[in-house]
Amino acid sequence: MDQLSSLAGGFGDVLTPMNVLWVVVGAFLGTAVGVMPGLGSAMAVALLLPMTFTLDPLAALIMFSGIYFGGLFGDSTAGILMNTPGNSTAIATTFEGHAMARGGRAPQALATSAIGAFTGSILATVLVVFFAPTMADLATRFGPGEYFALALFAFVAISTVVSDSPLRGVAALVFGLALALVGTDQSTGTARFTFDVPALFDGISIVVITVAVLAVGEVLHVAGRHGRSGGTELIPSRGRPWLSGREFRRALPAWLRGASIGVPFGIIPAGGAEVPTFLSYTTEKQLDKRKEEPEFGTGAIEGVAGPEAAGNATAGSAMGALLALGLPTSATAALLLATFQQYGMQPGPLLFERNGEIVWALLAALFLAAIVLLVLNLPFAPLWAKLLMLPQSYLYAGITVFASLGVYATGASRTDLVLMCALGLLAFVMRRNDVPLAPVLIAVILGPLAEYSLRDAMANSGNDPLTLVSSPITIGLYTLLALGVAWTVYRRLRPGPASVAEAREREDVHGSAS
Amino acid sequence: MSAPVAVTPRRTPLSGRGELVLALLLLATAGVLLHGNLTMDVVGDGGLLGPQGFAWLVMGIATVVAVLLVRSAFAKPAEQRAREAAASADTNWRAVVTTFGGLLAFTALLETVGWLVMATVLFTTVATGLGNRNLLRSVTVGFILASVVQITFSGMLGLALPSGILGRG
Repeated sequence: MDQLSSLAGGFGDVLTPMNVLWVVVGAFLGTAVGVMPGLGSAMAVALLLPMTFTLDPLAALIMFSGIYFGGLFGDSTAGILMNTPGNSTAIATTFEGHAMARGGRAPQALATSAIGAFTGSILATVLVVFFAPTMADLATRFGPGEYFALALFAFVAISTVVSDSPLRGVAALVFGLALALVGTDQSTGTARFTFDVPALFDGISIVVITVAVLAVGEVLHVAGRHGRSGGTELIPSRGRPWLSGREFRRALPAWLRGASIGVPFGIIPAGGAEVPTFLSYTTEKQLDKRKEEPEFGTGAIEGVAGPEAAGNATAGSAMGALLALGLPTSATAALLLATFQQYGMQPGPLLFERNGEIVWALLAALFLAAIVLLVLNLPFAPLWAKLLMLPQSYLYAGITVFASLGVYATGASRTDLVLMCALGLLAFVMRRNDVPLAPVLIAVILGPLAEYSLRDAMANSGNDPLTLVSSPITIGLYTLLALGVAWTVYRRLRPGPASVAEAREREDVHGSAS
Repeated sequence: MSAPVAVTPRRTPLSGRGELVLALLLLATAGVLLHGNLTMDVVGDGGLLGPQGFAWLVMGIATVVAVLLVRSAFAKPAEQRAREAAASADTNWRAVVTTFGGLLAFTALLETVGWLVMATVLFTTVATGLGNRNLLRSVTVGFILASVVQITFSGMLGLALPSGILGRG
């Protein structure tokens, strides 16, 4: 039980007044950005990253993990009370959650979602504590071939399997890969696509890309839709936020099912928590259909409990994949990777040996963050909803100012601001054409990994392409990938049972009806 | 909130074919990669793929996807086109242009005019673009936000923000 003693040591490091404060600050900020529509934890971390230069690494990392979890706690509040999910990860919760709120059970819906998010976070973090070191051991045997397979897996999964239109997914991927190519080539020192601009020699910062694509793109998108969509109404949440014994007994299995659906998705680089939340929603709906009186559509508590637990479980195991494999499986994880690198640490198999103390303190902080978030969200969810009263014009104006600040702070260079404008415009065009944004970020993060491991694999084997499929791990990954693609093709050719796409269409109907 | 403007869809051969913009952007990306690869000053021996190999690959994919997008744009059923054209015509371009103009002005003038003024201008432009008609209050809120940022980040965290015309020089 090495893990337990290491974790105890981690708690020892985290339970100082300053570090607890950072956990609370992170949880607070995370909940706030989660509650507000259009803002997510990835954007919050991207905006704060340049401002943490002066913090010590542990403080920055535990604050960011609080934001990561907090974003997933807060995102369902707006969905439940206003039918406008704060994030794509809360869409699945919104269907039944808003129905519950309309039926006068808003406090119960909010409580179910907060406890669900808590259950998911805790279960996933426990699994990470016990299995991450084993995963890291396994990953020490990964060579360039394995890493190339992982990156390729991520690219194909996010652009075709997960996205609605594979063509648009690949288009987004291409933009990301092209952006990742800019800068000095690591193995030869050749300047690539820098146009002799010195600011581009180090490549385009992930912070600039994330802020431009997520924040500026969002602001422009909102501007384009301004005055065009109908208003929404906030349903007040009154009464006891506690669940009755009967409600608790119904929600409990759904929380556990949701968490177990969510955990594996954190390890698969498929772009975060959106897919598992929908899977969990569909599962609960299928189970509900077998009952004598199906409740889905009228506010079934399971439909809130499952997806919320799934979302946070994904975030928890994504932390595991990041720490043990160095593989970011969501946009927020990608930014956490950038945070580690800012402090000269490289997540991956060796992190547990080289920076063991920080890793265990971070894992301890995750438990703490889940508890703090439960306290912040369970009794106070109606207060958080007050944030939604903030005038939209000031909210987005503030976001724009912080986006520009964050981008300028990364390098104090006007080039970064110019890039921000250009990429923001690109994201705007993409949003208007239903092109997913997540593949851009995944491609920017994993593009260099894919390129250099492919080149290393070729160099190590004397340019023998068969080296890419020479180990059980690579063969396994490619087989899994082939199965995923085959399943996607099959699903598209034959209209099957409720899928993510179908649920999204339902969301559109919901959106226009409100 | 202004009332939605009645939209009379103009039908041109391009309306409802947003994929074409996307295809154009992909081709532009491919073009930049092609130009960069051809003019690249390769240092040393990069092996089989070298610094250019991956870029050729991305360029190839970009071109193929662009062609497929153009094909799908012209194979689209008329009904779907009409729906997409209506959705795209229903855009508040004035708000988009105002907001983006604010960003461009901020980018161009931040280093000469300084953070306090430009952040206030940016805030006000975006708030006005998004339909806030109370200009005086927007300026006030923007200025307070800009000052708080200046004090916290520049004063306490040691982040260098340009002071511009209001500064020491």
